[in-house]
Amino acid sequence: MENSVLIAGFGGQGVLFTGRVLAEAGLLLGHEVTWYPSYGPEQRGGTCNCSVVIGDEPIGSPVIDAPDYLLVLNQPSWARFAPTAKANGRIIYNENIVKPDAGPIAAGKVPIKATRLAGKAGDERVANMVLLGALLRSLESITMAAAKEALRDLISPKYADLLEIDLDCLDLGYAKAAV
Amino acid sequence: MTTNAAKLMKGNEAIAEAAIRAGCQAYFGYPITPQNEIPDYMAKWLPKAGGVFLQAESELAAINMVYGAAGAGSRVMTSSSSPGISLMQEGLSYIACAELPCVVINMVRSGPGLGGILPAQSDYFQAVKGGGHGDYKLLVLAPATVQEAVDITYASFQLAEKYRNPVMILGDGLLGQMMESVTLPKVESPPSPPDWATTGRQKGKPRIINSLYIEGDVMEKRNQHIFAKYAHMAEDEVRFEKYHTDGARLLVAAYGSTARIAKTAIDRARAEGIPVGLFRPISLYPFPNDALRKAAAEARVVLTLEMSMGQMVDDVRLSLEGRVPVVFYGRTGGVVPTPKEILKELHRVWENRA
Repeated sequence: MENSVLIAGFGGQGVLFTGRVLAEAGLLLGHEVTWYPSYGPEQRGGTCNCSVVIGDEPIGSPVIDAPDYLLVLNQPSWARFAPTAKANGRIIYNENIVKPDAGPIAAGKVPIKATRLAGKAGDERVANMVLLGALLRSLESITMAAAKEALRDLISPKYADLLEIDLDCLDLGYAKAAV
Repeated sequence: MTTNAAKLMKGNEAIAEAAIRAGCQAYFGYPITPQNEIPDYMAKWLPKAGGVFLQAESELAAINMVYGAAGAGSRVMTSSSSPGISLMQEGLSYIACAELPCVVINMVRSGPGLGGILPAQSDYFQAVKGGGHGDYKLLVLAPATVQEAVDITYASFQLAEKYRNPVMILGDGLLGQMMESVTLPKVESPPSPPDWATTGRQKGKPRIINSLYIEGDVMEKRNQHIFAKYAHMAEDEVRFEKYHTDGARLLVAAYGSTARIAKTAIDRARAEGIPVGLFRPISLYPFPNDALRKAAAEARVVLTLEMSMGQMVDDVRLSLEGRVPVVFYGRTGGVVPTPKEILKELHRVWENRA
């Protein structure tokens, strides 16, 4: 088993943190994991992404050319990454922000009203957790329990008041995602 | 940082923690991306472990502080990235001539010039051929995973002391910025200052550390002496990894980040029937000449992959002494090759073999 997950959006949307939760959950489950952030000049005011690879064997490339799973948090990332997703892969995107282009995309599309769901749960800012929950529906190597444990471990004291909303959002995303 | 369970760490932070656990007593450096997590971590944790952290006014100052601390018998390190390492070359030449141990981390970024902050391997020549003026070498080790970076950093202080020579750990922005699972080694105490350290005259003879040798025959003896150590390194410190090299008819030679990306491409190529393997030098100086020659024994062609315009490929050619055709593929400027791109190159090279 080796799953590659690319998460892309604007800086500030929790792109890197979402990847951290996923990677930490993988570690808790005893998998091999790599987490690699984009750290180039594009981070300021532009798009930001991170690559997470989860496997049973030591990971070769932490760089992903064709993701099995793609989480899209903003429009520029759709144009850049949606065409790269594997044909049998899945693109999970925040349909409150991202409008899929008409171009041919082979991967399965999983639209999620992540901003609206997060807002209903208590805070629109945690739309990233809705999308992560939706990912867990189809990413069999990571369990919801491990993701929640990882989230509890990683959340900074500054955002401790958002933890319950974050946890609810994981469940909401999971429930809304088509298998 | 007391538990030994596996944890996720960034390459840069893991290197810093490994250095502290190895008994590093002093760190001097100047900030530069993509290695800033190393001084950041050291600033926070080294003083708590009883060590000294000092942000110097420049890389030139930092390496001379390293020179001084090493001369006084401390376990000492610095870290930087390409342009900063260039500024340290004079000091490294002095330290090598004065025969002092220290550890230098170079998380390479793209160049030449100020270049960019993205990953590159274009400082291979500078690292393995000496780098500064005069006849000397650094012991150069190139990890490919965060765990290997930890293990190599931990071992590097003792290697530096064994040979009384600087050890350089050559990584890049990819290794420094990525997170991977690591198990940390136990905390080691630094040894007492050795009998050559300038810790004060007390009752013995004055101890002098110098790199000035005016007399030609004395300087020549110094050169011969330090090169005798390098011959010893070539016997004892060669490190490499072989991946599917038995029966490989196409052999890839790559180190560091590029090697691990190549592994993914090699797995795909083998699934498609190409008999390809990987030879990964870990010690870049001393270079694993004999081991590479043996690994390439059945190869029809050797492909060297680097994030440079072609540097290690020269050492690959020197090792193979014309026995096997050697071709090269590289990306530069901070562009990291993808597995797909390398797979395409593997197909091209295999299909065009002589």
